[in-house]
Amino acid sequence: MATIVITPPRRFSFPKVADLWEAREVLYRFGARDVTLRYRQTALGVVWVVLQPLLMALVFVLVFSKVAKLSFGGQPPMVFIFVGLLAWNLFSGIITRAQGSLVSNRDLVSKVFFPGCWCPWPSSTRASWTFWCRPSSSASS
Amino acid sequence: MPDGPSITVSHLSKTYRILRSQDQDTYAAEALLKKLRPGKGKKKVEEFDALHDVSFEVPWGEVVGIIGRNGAGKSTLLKIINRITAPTKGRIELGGRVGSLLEVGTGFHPELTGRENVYLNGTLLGMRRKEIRERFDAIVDFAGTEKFLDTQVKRYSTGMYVRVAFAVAAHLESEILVVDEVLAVGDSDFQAKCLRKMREVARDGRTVLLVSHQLQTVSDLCNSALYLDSSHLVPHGTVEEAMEEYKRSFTRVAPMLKDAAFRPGTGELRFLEASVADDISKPGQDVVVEFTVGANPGFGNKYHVTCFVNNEDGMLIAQCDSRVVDFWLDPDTDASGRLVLRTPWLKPGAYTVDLFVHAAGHATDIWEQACHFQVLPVTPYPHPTTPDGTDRGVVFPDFDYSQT
Repeated sequence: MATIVITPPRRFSFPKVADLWEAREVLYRFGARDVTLRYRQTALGVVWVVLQPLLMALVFVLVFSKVAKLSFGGQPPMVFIFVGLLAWNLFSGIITRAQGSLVSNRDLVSKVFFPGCWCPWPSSTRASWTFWCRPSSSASS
Repeated sequence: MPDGPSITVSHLSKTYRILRSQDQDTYAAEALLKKLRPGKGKKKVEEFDALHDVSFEVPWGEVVGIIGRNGAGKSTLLKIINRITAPTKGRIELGGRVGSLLEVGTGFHPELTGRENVYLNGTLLGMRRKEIRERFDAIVDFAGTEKFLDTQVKRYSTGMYVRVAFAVAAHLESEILVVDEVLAVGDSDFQAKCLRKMREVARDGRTVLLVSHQLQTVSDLCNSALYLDSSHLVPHGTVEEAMEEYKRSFTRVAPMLKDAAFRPGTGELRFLEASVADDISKPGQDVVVEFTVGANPGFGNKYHVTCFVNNEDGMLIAQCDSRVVDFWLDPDTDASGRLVLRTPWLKPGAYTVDLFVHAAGHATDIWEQACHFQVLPVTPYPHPTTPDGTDRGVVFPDFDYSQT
């Protein structure tokens, strides 16, 4: 059995790779938690993953193509906008969710031993999960 | 279990730096600016030792109680062992994984079901998925919540919540288990179950660290004890010796605190004197505390006082805040007052009284153990019986039975 040694931290201390690896399952659980929670207790459930950006894209199409009559370089406006939206949602989703992650997990950081630097990652799992789900499900539809 | 001690702590210190509040930087940019401006970057920092040069060893298979008064550093010690905070000096060697029951149910998410939370919590405590799956039934069985496994935790009662949380932690096969004051929850049945579990853990040769204010639990469960007194570890031997030391600490500091200069609190208003009218009384007799608070003309606000009555074990029995009976004092002159405590009827033993002055949201004087008194071993009831009829409970209740 390995002996754990606790000593004062140095000036710049990075978490040990071994500790991070030990806690990898936390990452998975948190990611799963966030994804489940997002769609629990919503009337349409997981359908929102596809529905939300589709509706969003539809609004953009109406505004930019029908009202403002912008050119889409010969591409179908729906596809053009949808692809752009997906990329943007992924980016903004990761950034906004990761920002608050340490504060919203304050209890864990201050009461349970686990590498705090894992905190922002599950939020990105959620954003990327929604990202990957969308093209595949909309491609099949 | 491997050879050698399970926990070796050598010269451990933890120092917190307290910034004076007006020096606090709100933004990182502000902090940077201050650093850049020469001469003004020096901040006034007070240092506070939460733990000072603590060393001890714990052999395998021992249940160690950690006792001490509030703010003695018990929780800091556990936090460091748990690696939630880092020490400032010193070194700790742990012979295995540490499982903690610091705050029950941290990481529980109210929207998740019982089952999902067991997995989430188990993972946080450091269990592998396989381990949790293997022990899942045992955990649920221990908590006694089979029926509610797929109910969201937000619909649980507090008791159920805590039971599930404790069950997960209790089934963590860590070599060292750290428990902080969690036994106060749950019914007596569940408490007994927890105590049994902890004994079992120790019998397996693992180590349990337990922080508790309830001396009863410590003496029941522990086979050694550490006594912390204002961030120092006091040398000791057995559980009894540590507990004696703990009880003595209450009487030792009392004479010193008669001098207001040694007392905490902001200091604008201080007690001049305080006494108990009858320092030996009988159960059921009124306890009368008389006090005088010094004047501070021009202070302005009216203030109120609070009185705590503690028993021998350091347990707070009664809080008498003068606000709740609308009693306020005027700071312009010296003010004398009297508190009459009619119920509860106190059990035989020694009691201490803590007094506080509160003004404008601050405690201006905190006088622990301002006075003490004894209650004689007589029963206040009309029909005395054998001791087993009255020896449970913390106080004597004033009660009556009648047939309806």
